[in-house]
Amino acid sequence: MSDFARQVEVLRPQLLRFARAQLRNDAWAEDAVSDTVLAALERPQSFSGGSQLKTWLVGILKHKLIDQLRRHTREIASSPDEDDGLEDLVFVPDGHFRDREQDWGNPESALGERQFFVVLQACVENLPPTQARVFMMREWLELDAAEICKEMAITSTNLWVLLHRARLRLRECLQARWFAGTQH
Amino acid sequence: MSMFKKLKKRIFGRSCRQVSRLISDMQERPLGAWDRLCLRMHLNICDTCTRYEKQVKFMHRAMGRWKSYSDGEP
Repeated sequence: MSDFARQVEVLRPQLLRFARAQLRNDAWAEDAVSDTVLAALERPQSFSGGSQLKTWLVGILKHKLIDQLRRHTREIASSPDEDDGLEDLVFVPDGHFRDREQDWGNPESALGERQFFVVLQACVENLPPTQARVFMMREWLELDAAEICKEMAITSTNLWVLLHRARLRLRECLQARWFAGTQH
Repeated sequence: MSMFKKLKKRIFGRSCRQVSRLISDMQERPLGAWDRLCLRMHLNICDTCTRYEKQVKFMHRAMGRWKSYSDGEP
């Protein structure tokens, strides 16, 4: 194995972790990562060395993730978001937040703690699948709304509702698993 | 109901439930002038939604940081 191939292999588990978080399907994630590694090994000369190897690989991976989503769009579209009860959990009937005392103080310090990102990832993974996908496409892959709607075969209004629900859920999860009563 | 009361109700009549949706949408699209006005007036008087707006923006920054962990962490 060449030195380059070895360096790529070392990064495979990390690529797989992020592919899984995005696609929520182990088989698709492994396909996307395998395609990424193959593409990298076929054209090592296109890695300029200027950026970090991982940055370069993630750039390739993003395209492979989109390929996977495109290939499996019909399967995704047939699993609708069934999360209509969420808002009744988060809000009381008069429309106020049920939990009005969620003060995260100065949350920036959490960004310096590796453990926070473990919690964040767990919270994203706990979202209902469709919410998790669109949230990761939006916030991690930074796709624009038109691309996401096309890949997911949804309207922009659907997309906004899904992102809205994902954010409400993430707030609840981060509150419960990180900010509640802890002195970080 | 007087004109003034009706107007007040239209501006302040939105619940946190409705406003939280505007806070999320604001990350995705430019809000209309009327929505912007209602949002601003609501945030002036509502601590919970003010905190929620900060939480939404923080989650966006946190996702960006998570991404850079994957892109180029040491």
